Amino acid sequence: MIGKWMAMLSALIKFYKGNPGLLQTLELLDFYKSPSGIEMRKCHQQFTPLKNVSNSVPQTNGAFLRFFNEYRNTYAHPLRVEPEEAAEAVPYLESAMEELLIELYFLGSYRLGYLENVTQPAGGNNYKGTILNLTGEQPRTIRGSQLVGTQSHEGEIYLSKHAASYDPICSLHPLLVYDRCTEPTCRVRPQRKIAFFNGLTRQGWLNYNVSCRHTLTNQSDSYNLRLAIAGAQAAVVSLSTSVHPSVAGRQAKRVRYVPRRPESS
Amino acid sequence: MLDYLDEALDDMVLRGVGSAAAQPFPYPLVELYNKAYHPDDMNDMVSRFHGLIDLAEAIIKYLTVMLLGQYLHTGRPDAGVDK
Repeated sequence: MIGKWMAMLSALIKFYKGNPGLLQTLELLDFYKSPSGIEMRKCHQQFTPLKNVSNSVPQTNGAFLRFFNEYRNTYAHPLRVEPEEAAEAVPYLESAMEELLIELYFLGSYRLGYLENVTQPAGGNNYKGTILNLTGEQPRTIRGSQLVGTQSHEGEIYLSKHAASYDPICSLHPLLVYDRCTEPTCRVRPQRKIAFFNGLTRQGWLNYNVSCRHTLTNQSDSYNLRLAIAGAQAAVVSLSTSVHPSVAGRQAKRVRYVPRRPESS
Repeated sequence: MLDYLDEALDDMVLRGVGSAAAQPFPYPLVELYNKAYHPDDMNDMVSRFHGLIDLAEAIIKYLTVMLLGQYLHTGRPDAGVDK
């Protein structure tokens, strides 16, 4: 499974390298091509003779992620490891991951915001909503309601820059979904029954202080998630051979507005 | 790694300390970071190994989602998306 995500990431990076004007999180491109750190290289060198992964030492952060993908795939699904093997690997992985996290410092500049309670107090397009900030260890409501456009949908998670005003980059729905835990066996008090789904982890759900296994209560979200992932894979596979519609549109306009040559008399 | 670097990493990931614009990391990564770097039992190497693998996998997936969200937002790139 991780291999599919890695393939999508590589294809998207390749696409945005050629079209940086379409990307709002440009730091991600810089991160991917920046040289990998000493600990990351040590980690690779340590595991190469033990695990049959590629021999070239990763020179960039992106290459380290690809190495990690190969390394992960040398283990079974679900992940099984012997205690001795884990004891040997942990110090190397820990140091390499610390370096990787430092390189990912820019993630702190982008907010995951869950849009809730959208109302239309003055009619027209004057929509207001409450944003739940999903960064850090606990969800926090951002003070005061924010003006939201008609393009924003209640109940979806948006990626935005950290700023006082609501200015989303894009919706991450249904790749990321925020929902409440409805498991009857959930031991946490009702008011804290809050689960955060990212659909992308081995566990499926990540919970705020909840350890139960949660299932999506909204069937359409579950369906949309599968649809989005399948569709995204199909779309990304075609990245190398097709042109993005917004780019294609600009190219078409360019062609359309080429001035005609004056006709010779 | 030295202790003060561990603390600096905690500050950056969990509390968003380090630059004026910085905030904590997104919740999924914070949660997995805590499991990987602050496990209940430091001597349980298998759990720590699992925690680190989970964190690295989530990083790959989260970065993909960041790009994928923007990619799909700017237009449906392929008819296959609707199928």
